[in-house]
Amino acid sequence: MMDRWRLIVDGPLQGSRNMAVDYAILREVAAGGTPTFRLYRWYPPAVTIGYFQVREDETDAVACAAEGIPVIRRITGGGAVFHDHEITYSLAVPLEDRRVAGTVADSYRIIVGPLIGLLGDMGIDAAFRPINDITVEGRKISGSAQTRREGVLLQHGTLLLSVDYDRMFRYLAVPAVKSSGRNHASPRQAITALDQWISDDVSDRSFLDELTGRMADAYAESLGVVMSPGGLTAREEEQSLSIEEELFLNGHWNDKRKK
Amino acid sequence: MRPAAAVMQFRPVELKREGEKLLRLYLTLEGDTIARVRITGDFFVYPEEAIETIEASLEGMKREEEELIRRIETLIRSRGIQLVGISAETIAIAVVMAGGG
Repeated sequence: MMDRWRLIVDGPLQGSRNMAVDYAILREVAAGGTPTFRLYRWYPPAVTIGYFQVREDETDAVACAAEGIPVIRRITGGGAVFHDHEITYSLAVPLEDRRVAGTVADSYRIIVGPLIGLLGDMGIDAAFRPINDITVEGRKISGSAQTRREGVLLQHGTLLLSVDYDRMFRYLAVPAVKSSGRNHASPRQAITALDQWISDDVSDRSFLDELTGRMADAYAESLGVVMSPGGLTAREEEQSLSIEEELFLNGHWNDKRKK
Repeated sequence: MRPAAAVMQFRPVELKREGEKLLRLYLTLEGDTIARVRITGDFFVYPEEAIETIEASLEGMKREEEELIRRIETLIRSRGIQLVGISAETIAIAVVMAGGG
């Protein structure tokens, strides 16, 4: 019999909330709760930075503050992301789960696999770019980040629906060595989004609903599990509120790596 | 009494090596001894908190690449730390570069 996982589909939430919910789910799974696949969106837009990054190095603090863009440090490593028009997935499973376990490098590849497959079904020639990206014709359309703690693997990642380059690069600082290292003349050539490859209106409600459903199906099929739609438990709701307060709304956490 | 060694905080060094992520390293020296290192960037370390263990382990050392690599690699093995998108060698090179080596 196939394992049953919980599927949570959230509408647009604020950044600190999204990060707190992922962490609360991780803790629930650590306590023996059901492995969970979650799909969510962001409103208002937010910037997240990796665990090991420094807010002032990765962002234009003045522009972010002036335009009400929070900058939140994740519990996962990886890079800075401007979250606006995207669908984000998160997956929380016990580390011993044979479907996704293995080395960190292997599990990145495995976990983004269904997303690459889905893009392929949509006629988009997407490829895995190690360590943690999905690209289309060499341009990044999805980035993921994984943590392993309390016996649980949590990975979350983006799928860009459309991208406002002007805003993205108003908020994010692009280090000179990184952009030059990949031989991209401009950030526009480094990043792409779904709407550049399909004719559908990616902001249309029914398109989003359909895409969300197809993402859940792609993961269920690829990982060989049944997804049962559900919500947070009462304990997760409570945990998420305290985590949000203690970490993602807290300057001490967000600036932890400041020199 | 010997005069106190000069404390120097250097500008961060950015290092992106083939197949790795971007490392941005901050270094403070006291004389020729490492007083403080901050290892930042878009890499991954498991468990994440171990980054502080690695940073602390370099304090009091000289900026000698081989020594730094050995120190970090020993720590990685003894504590079961995993580095992804960054390496002991990259950190050591950056420490030497940051101090003007």
